[in-house]
Amino acid sequence: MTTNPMKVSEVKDQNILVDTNIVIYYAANGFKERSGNILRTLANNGNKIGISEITAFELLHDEQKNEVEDYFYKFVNYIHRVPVEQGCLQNAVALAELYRVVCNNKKVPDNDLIIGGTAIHYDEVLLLTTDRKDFCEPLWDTYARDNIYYKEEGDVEVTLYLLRFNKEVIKLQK
Amino acid sequence: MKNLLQKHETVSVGKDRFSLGVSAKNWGLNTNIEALNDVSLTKGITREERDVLLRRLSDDNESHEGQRS
Repeated sequence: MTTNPMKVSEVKDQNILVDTNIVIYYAANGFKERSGNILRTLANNGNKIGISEITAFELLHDEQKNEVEDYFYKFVNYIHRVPVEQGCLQNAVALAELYRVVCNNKKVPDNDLIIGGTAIHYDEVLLLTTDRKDFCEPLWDTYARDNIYYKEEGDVEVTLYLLRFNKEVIKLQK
Repeated sequence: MKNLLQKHETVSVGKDRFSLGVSAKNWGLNTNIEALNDVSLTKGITREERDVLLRRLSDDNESHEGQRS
């Protein structure tokens, strides 16, 4: 919808919910540097960052190599964790209905519905994710976007999206 | 018993009803960005390991869809 969104690294003074895929990319060799240490940059720009307790669950519930497991535990313990309140789950239910009605019966995993529901539950919260497939238009508008490039090849490694829920679609539904 | 139940605060759940606008003023207050910045893997996971972890997230999706189809 927005033709030329700002860069994620330029966003200031927002509340940002960090999706699970971002934490996984951050664990990849050299990603922190390639992304310009994007989480540190966002914090330095006055943004408040956090993860859902669902993201903590997604990171920790599978067996990992010791070093990776330690990394995820440290990450989860150093970042603000947002509880899954009743309203977040209520929104997950309503979101699932919206995906059916507005997005051609699209199926979205429960964890993403709850993470999305959490971003909606709180006032003025943006979602940082690489997953534009499940967090799709017209439900989610692009507020900012950044491509991260492999240094050696110059190819795009991944696109980071900062998304905002489009509350106008609630009116469309009714 | 009825009175006790009535004392509980409940949120009425509707399929088109959203819970909106809860204040996020306390967000991020306990994020330790300095410590978070120091968190790193000695050598980081490889592209292949990263893709396996990401695929697990989407595999959950596929099994979820499979259950519903």
